[in-house]
Amino acid sequence: MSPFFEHLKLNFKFIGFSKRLTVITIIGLSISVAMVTENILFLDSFRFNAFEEFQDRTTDPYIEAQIDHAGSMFFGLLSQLASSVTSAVDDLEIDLNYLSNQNWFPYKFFYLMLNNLVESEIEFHDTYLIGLDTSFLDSLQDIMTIGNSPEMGEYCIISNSKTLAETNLNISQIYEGYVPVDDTGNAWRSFAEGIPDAGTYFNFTGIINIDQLIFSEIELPTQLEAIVNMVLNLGAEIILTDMGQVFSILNQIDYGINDMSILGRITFNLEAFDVFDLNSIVDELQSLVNRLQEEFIILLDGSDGVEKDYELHMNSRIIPLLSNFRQEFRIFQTFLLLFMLPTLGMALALTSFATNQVKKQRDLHIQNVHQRGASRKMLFGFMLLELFIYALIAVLIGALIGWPFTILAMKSEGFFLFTGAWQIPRLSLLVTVISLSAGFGIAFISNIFSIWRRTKTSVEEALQEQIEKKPFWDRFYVDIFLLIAGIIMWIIAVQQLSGDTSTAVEFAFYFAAPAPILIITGGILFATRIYPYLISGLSNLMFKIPKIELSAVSARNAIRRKGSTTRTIILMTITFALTVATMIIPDSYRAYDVEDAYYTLGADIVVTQVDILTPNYKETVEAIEGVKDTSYVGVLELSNGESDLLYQIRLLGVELDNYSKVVYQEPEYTSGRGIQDILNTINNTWDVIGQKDQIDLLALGNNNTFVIENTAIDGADVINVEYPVNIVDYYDYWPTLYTEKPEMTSKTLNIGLLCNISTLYNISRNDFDVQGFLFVSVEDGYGIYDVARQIEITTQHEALNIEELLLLSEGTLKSTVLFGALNISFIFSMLISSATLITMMFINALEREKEIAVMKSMGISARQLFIFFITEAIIILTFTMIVGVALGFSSSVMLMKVLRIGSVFPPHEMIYPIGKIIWTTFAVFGMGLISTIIPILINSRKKIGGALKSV
Amino acid sequence: MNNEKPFLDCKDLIKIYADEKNRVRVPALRGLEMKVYKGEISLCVGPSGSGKSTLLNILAGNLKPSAGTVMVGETDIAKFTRAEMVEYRRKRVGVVWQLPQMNLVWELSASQNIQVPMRILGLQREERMTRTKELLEEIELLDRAHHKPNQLSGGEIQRISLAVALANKPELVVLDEPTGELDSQTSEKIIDFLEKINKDLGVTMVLATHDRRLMARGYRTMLLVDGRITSVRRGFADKERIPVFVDAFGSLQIPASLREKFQSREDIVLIEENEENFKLEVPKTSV
Repeated sequence: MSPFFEHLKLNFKFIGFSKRLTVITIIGLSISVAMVTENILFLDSFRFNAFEEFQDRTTDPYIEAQIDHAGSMFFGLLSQLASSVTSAVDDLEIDLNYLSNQNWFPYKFFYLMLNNLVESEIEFHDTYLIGLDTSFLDSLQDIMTIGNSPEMGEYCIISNSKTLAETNLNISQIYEGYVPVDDTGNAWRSFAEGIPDAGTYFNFTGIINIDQLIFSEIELPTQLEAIVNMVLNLGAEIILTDMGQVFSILNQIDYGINDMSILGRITFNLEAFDVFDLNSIVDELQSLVNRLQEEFIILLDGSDGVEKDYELHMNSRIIPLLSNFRQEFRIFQTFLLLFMLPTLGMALALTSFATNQVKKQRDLHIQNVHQRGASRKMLFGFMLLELFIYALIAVLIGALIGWPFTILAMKSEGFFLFTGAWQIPRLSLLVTVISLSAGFGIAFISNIFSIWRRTKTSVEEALQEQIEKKPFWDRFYVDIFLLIAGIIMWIIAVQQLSGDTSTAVEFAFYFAAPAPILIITGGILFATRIYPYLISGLSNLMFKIPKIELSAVSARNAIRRKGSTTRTIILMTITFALTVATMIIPDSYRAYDVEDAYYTLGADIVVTQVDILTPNYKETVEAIEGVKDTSYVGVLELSNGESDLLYQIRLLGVELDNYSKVVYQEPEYTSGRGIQDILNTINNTWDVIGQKDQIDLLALGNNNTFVIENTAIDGADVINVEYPVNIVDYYDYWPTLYTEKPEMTSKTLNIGLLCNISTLYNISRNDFDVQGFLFVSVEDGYGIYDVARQIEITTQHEALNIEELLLLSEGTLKSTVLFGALNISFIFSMLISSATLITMMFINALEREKEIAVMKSMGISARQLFIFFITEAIIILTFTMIVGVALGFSSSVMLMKVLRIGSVFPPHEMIYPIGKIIWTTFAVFGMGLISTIIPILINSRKKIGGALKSV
Repeated sequence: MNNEKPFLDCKDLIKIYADEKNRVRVPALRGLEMKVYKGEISLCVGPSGSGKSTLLNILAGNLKPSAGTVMVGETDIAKFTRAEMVEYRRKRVGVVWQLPQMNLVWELSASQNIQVPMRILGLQREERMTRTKELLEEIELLDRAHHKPNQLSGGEIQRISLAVALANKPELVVLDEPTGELDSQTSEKIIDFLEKINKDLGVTMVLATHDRRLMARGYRTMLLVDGRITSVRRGFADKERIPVFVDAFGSLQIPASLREKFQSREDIVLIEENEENFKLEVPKTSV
């Protein structure tokens, strides 16, 4: 055998030199690697699952093209448009799987004349006439509410419950429909032109009630669903027929054919998108949009050289959707990483901690082999192989811990609150390889430098007590830098938040998210800096008190082992901080979530599309079991222009006597006055209540009169009428009404006004313009969701409710990341801390054998010895508990502020589950103490002789 | 005077430790001159801080002197490159330190410890085993071959350490207080072993010691004070001739039995002095 093999054999002997080192290093490395593996796996699976959720939540990922004034040639144009899409996709080499389908159809706006049976009046309904392929028309048969799907040349109509209930709309009757003859939007003018100049007759073979379609949750074929979604976006009533019929009918109307519009939609299949390749997908889609725009213009211009007056609007909804997802994910990825970084650092620190603990013994080995003629290179080789083997074992153990933990984290619904993210991570081999090799690399590299330094160990170094260098953060004041940076970033973020513009909010988020992490990290490191001074002071004090002198020696002892004490302080502080944060943040966030949902909705249950004027509706709802109170709420939205400023006015009409019984309220909304108190100030028809900041921006002067303009029908004419309203009082926040802070620089000003419900009908052009809602409060002891469902079944109106809304928000990235990051950090921090404490005490037990023996030989009793060591542990644990709890509280407040960035309503008070906090904090304290006591007990039983002889 | 060429010859040896951070320079050896002859056992005595350990570390190939020459055989180890130094440690020098944990790997058995240097050298198993057995026989610890250091006594540990130092048949063995941690009986035994090995193997030995028993054996003793050899004496192996010794402060140290015979120190007079020796006249007063 050659010397090489002899060396290799010696190498393996070298590895076996120290069993302690082997065990400790492998424990430390395994946890580090588990942490790395788990982090990569988790982030990867999380991204995957987040995108799946995004797919579920996202309806209509499309690129849309709308061509107005398309002219009479649309028939040929439709197929040309479709084929230019196919060729563009081909040319740009976009994956064909991305494309779900594309639909092109012509449409034309009509006023459909119906009789309102309730008020015995004629009404004109905004309606679109849409031309579809006959095969589509046939497939409508399954969803027909009344009658049959139309044949060639026939029509069907998509309408809603309200129209069907209140008007004469039915099958086998003839209705008049008119196209607009000018830009005034006055149907009566078209009516005056008559049929066939400005209109035609419709006879429907079938009616689809869209509300019923939604309630019965019928699964539509993908293509049909795309069309239904598309037509739903266009308006309330839609008349469907075949394309030929649209063409021929418009040919008969004088005002018809030139104003034809074409709508095309290319729908994408999100499931085919690779979430890890979103950047290039977004780029591809952007170039597709650009390409399509060019192609469409060429097509529409034609080759005849005649100028056309078409208007092309491209709307690529999918691109901002994907970009938003990408951006949102990036923000949370940063957040998640920032949150996990300290624990990862801790895991790595544990590794070097573990190896450092047995440093003296190791140094002796190195010195020994050195003296016998091993070169530095040879030693480095030895230790490299050793580390390689350790890292390999660690990777295996780490993967064994990391993988199932990730699966557990992703699967567990109850503990981790991952709604929707219940799938086992679908991971590619590549990700597994990357995560394992990253873990290996980190474990390897983090130790290699110390190994190279260690190979230099000389005889003196091995003999001397090592003078421990201060950690780098101590030497370079990193802790103070981090603290200052965190505080400055926080101040900047808070200032930006008061800026109110959307860019300021985004800016604030980037600044505010890392700030608490920096403060926690800086704070913990700073704690290690001040700890020795604190203990010196404390022990000086203890020395003066006769009975606890021994504890004073012990306290001093706690600062003697600088390196290990520092690491213990870091680990324990972070554990305490995370424990407290994990208790506070989820509860507070949940409270915020609930308020957010209520603020958006307004009450427990909100029934939509209610006709307030319908008799008995309210009574029907009130008769349902579990309903406590109800109140009608009407909304009228108007746009008033003044020079280049646009007022978006939202009038909220309420029943003054019972609105406050059902609506959600917090004292901050009305400066503590209560909603009823404010509503009491409305005494006249034209009295309204405005939002303080919005009204301030209006600068109305002393009389507080604001003029609302709306059109009204005066005989056959449409006229503008001014309605001066008196602002009699102010509110600060109002659910459903005040949803955006007013911006000085914006050209659109949102104004939310509160008035008596009857006032709405005085201002509206017709009753149809008032959107009616019924706010419902639920009796205690009844499930909100169940009551809402009962209302839907009984009344056939959609009833939005808080519970459903909360479920939706639970599935958002924000809450998933929040709970996921917090829980994972918490669990890992607990794991690492206990592992470290046990490792530390295990090593202490070994390292202190001599120390204990010396003290025993001096005559210390077992009890005194126990007190001696337990004092040290209690001092460290108490100190870290105080610092950790303080950091936990402050960071929770800051993190909650970060999470609430962008919300309008006033910050809700934090929820501090004091009982839970005390309980868990003491549990951690106890865990620390127990992991200290066991080695102490083992230690104090050691025999003096044997201990003194140990190395 | 010995006209033979010395095996170990240090000339103008200077070693200065520089602490760059605190801008402090500590001279440990200040122009040391030393000669050790082939197959000789020579002692190095001196107070703490006199430079003994530095000298030994230089001889052991762990430190490089700041200036001067250290001839070991035909080579000047002060001029060695790092690789040559490794080679020197591997083949030409053996070391026994005072602390047992520095000589042995605590987790390995006696026999395995002896094999460590041979493995580093790359010796084949057969050769290694024979040599280990020889060495264990030499130190009379064949029966303890598979014991670990914590199962051995202090003397046994030092004997194993000596075997480790001798494993690769070095020309020179450097011993730093080999009897420092041992009781007088065990010390005597170790000294006997050293002499035996020195005789059997003809290996040159340099020992740093405070042990009078060693000095009394008549080896050449060099006194180191402040980084220089201030005197070279030969101890008294002959029981007839009573050994005395000049300490670091220049005081004459004599055995207690002798001390009792004197009434007053003032009575001692230097009557003759030459290169080799000097004569004192001590009036003997019966008590």
